[in-house]
Amino acid sequence: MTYFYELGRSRTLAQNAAAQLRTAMAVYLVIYAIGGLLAIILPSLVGEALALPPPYGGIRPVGGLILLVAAFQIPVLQNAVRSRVPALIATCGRVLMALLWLIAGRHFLWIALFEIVFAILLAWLLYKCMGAELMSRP
Amino acid sequence: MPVEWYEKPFVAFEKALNRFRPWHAWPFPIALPMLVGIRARMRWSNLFNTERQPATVPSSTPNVRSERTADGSYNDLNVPWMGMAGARFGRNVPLERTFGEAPPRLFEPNPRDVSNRLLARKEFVPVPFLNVFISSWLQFMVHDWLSHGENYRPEEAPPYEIPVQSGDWPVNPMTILRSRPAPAEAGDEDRPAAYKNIETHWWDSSQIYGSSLARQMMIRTDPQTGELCPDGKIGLKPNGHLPLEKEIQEVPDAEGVRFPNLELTGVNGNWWVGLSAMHTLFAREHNSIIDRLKLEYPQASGEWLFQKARLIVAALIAKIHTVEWTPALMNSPEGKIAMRSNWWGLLGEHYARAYGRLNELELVSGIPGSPTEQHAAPYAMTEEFTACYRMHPLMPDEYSFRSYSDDRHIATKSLIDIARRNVPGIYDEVGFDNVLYSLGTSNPGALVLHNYPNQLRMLPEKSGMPNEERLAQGLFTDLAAVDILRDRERGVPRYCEFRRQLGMSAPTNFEELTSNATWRDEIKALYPTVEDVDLLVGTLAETWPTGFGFSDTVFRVFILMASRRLKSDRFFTTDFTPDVYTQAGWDWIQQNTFRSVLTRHCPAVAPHFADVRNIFFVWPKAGPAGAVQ
Repeated sequence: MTYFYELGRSRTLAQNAAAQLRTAMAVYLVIYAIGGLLAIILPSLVGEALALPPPYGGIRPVGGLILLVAAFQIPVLQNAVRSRVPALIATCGRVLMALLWLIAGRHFLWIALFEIVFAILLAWLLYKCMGAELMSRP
Repeated sequence: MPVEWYEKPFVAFEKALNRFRPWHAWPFPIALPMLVGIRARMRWSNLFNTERQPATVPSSTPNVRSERTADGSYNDLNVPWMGMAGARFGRNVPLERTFGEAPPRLFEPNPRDVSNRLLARKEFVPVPFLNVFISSWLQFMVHDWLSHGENYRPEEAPPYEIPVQSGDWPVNPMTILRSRPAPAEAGDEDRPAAYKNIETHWWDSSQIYGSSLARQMMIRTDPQTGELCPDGKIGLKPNGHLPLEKEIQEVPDAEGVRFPNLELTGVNGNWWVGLSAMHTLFAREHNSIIDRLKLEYPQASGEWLFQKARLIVAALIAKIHTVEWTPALMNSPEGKIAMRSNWWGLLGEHYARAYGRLNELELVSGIPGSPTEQHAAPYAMTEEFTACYRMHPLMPDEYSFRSYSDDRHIATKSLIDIARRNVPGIYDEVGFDNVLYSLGTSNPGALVLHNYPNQLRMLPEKSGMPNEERLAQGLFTDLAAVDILRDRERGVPRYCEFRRQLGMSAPTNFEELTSNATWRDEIKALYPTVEDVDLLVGTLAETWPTGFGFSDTVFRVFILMASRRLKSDRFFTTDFTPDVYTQAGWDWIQQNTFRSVLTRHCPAVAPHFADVRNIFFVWPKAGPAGAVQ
């Protein structure tokens, strides 16, 4: 990681790192929210895509749950530095979810892949963001 | 009392991973819990009491609950002598390992040879990102914490005689006075010598206010009238500088030496312009705090105002040291978070300022305001801590004074030229703001071998004596040789044993000691085995953790003692409240930093440090037209 001795450059570095995290987080949450909405609006489509046996009555509540989980992450999207404890919990949650999807297997492996990719990416960006923020202080 | 329940996993974690590599060789998320584990372990394994029979404690005053006493007593209300001036230094290694070395080992290898061949500055090695405030602040702090006081006079105990080579020193042998140990008490028979700290051990700004009531009254005396300042201020001259001691009354300094014409403050030993600047700034800060308190409490007495301002200054200085000075020397995420969490906890500054403490856990919400805890021994500064703070290489030999407006050269001075009674003359010649600018834009020396200031290796012992006479009598001190000898004399283990006692791995050969091949050969030529290497030499030869300005060995002692200075002190823990400090004082501590102190008292130089992240990083120099480059 690069650190600067000047306040202005350090702050810029920290702001850039926060912006990168915010962008990746936004992409992740949008995809996540779309998945949740699809599950609520078109449960049969989601059920067929995941090769689940009908009926698909349980998919709607899961979609609602996904939207709720996405909503919980909005404070992290707004300011990850101030919401670092929720950010850390969310990071751990993503890894846990990825493991669950992996265990579920079959078509859920695509969701597991999505979770793993974003878990690694967001964890790395969060680490960079925290480091840059910390190193912008005296 | 065992390690706290929540710290046990950290101790186990550190113990497990330390077998493979030290904390600084691991990535940040692993290094951080290891640091927590190291500190928790050391609090129960590396604190030892030397006090046998508590010192006589003067009777209490009615206000000990909410005011610091002049001599440091009654900080701990159950153990009033703890940390007071005159109490013994503690230890960081078991007492049976701290017997002072006796001849011939005491002189092996010859301290003067170590000074000449390993420590002497060949060429100034700077720390390119730090400024000289680093060294002046360090000395400012050390004067707060400790002083061994007067050594034995030659007529009381024969000085150590160090043979020197012909022409190497004005007289042969070189003599070094013996340390004066604390008088032995009942039960001391089989124990190593202990030494008294003549300053208060606490982080109470005794360097500003003195460690006795008599000294404190002198500081509070108005140099114009000779009377006590009625509103509790520190007596300053009309130009905002400290008065000279002779203008009021000449008294011995902390070392018992009388130096007339030194500026008057709590401790003015080893005085030089950088140290004077710190004292001047914080004397002004004290008076600014009084002005603020007077607005809130117009009816308050001068005594009450003084005592509250003292509390606030001490806390502000502790905060600056914790979250500004130390992180400047430990410029890595691990170093920063270790120190910032000492003050604010892992929840951080924003949370602490917005919501206060979440709970009593220091890890979560910081040490200030958490419960007081002495851990394994009553609070005391330690001999090992003293040894680790031997950081004289930070001092340059030469100082260039320049104008803050255009960087115009004003004067170049040697260290001796800007020391002792020469200080007021420097202010007259250069100006206070220019002195600050010059210190802020100059680099300190690096803590490495071959970087010990040569002027401190031939330091004139007395002022005012013609040099020829001084040479004839050999009245010089090689401070580097003294540093080496003192550690041996006071039983501070040598480097390898010191590391083992701190729970670190020790090098088994010279190759493991340092990665610098030249130094390795030089050390090998002087020391028979790696086990004989002195602590100071080892720590200066060691490879530092990334971003650090000192070795991991001394860092281990710092991480223990930096938190202990806060955690043991009632005024930083249970009584660190707005009730004791006043709401105005509390806010002052929360809102101020060294940057704001400098800005308040020297606004003209503020543009030069406006863009430095840490005030102890080197400031950009002024451009030809006054613009900051």
